[in-house]
Amino acid sequence: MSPIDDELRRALERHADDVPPLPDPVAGAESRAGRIRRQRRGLAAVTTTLAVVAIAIVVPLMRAGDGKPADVFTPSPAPATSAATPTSTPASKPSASATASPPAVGSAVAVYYLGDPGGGLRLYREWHKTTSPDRIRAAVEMMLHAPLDSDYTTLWPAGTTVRGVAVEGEVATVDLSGEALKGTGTGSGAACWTLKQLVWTVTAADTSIHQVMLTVNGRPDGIVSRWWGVGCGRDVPMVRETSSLSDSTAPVQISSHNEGDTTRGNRFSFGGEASVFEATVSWSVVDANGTTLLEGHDNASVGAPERGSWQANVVLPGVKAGQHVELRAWETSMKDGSVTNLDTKKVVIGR
Amino acid sequence: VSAQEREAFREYVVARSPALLRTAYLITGNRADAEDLLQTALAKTYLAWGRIRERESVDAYVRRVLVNTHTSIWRRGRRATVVPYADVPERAGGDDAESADLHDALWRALTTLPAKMRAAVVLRYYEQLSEAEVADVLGCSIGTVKSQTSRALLKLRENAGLRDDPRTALPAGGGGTR
Repeated sequence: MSPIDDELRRALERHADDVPPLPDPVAGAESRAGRIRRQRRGLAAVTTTLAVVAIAIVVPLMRAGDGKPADVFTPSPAPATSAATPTSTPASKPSASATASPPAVGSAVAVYYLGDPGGGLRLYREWHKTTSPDRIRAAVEMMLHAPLDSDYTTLWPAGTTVRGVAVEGEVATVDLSGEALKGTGTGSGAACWTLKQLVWTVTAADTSIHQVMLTVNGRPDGIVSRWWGVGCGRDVPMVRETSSLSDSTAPVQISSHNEGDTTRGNRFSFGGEASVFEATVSWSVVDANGTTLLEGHDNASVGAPERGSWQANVVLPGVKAGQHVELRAWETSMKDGSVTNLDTKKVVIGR
Repeated sequence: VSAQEREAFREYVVARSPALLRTAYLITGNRADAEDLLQTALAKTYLAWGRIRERESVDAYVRRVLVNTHTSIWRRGRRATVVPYADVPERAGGDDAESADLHDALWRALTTLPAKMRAAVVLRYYEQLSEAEVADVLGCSIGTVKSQTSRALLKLRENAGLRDDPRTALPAGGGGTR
């Protein structure tokens, strides 16, 4: 390999390494497939209509010409089915495409915390960096500690530690220390959210895991139903409730930056995920005095009840490196135009 | 799509979407577009799932849809304006400061390349596909892949201001001047 080959490969790997996974790629692909199918059907219907119209025109013309085809009109009725054929064809031959993942030199893991945007608790996600090969353990350990953003919280009792993580097939068993049973004293509703934090964090750290078991001091017997109550978890492997995705996750979240991050200069973009009405996310950048420097809105890739991604491109020519600003994103209430489901991140402008 | 095929599709997406998203990110240069592009590509794959007989070629199929969809969007000019600094990730891992600068410069230069040329670079240098495989994905000849990638290397060095940097010396006989 020549020098540029090598540097280019490293540059690409380095940038690709920072890309967090999609929150729910299967649901996203399936719902979008439905939309494409409807569009194609619509297109096919239009083509059919055009073909019918073309025939309706050509028939009278032929009649007028007494059986002789009219030379002024050459219809080309495209078969209606052609519109339903996708533009790309599948590979005609198998190709050896075992794509090697880039070597892990520190990767990002999603850690789920809780926040209250107004209507009750929701899961909020922070991206943390880890160099540990045991991503599940690293992510759970971070979940047991306070989040970077003080607007969020963890409901796991202080002092809880991870004793071990065992993976078998698609089930991960997380063994926590006895402090886990201290309880948070916030009722069984909050207890359910405590378990959700765990299940979402584990299944995000390793996407081949679909079910999570919890043990405390190595004991599985009745821990979950005894300590967290029936209705949120039972002593069977727990799963993400993907059917109620928008009921669990934050309606609007900034996930491109963590609290306290430094931006790359005064020209940067920030974004995240949202599940909001009509997919419209409002955003602004506010300085330390509370003055709005820039505001705008973006359409998330899909609207509620699905989750889409959104992005804001920011250019702040007057803002110098080192200045503190707050990034804000929210949903504007359809009822009265007020700010709802706000998420904020305090960041420092970099050079 | 039958229940069994649907399950196979789910398994495929769960296993492969993180890696495919990285490729989509490198092709588009920003996270929001990458997510959008990958979701579209996976949706198209879902619709074609029954027709993709050889499961080994699913990756190749998805890559082709990724590149085709992106280049057609790019050609229509919808996303033609790229803010060079916008999406350089905030945190880098395992990279000393000096080579981090070099890699950032190469990354920014990459955003100035035309979509198809950029895709060729990503497939060749990140996915490490052979020239024949890249040609298959891009739907062009091996000769075109060769000429596109060597032109891309020249442009990258030029645009990154690294023409005389020994770290970006060109491969021998790769169309370079030194």
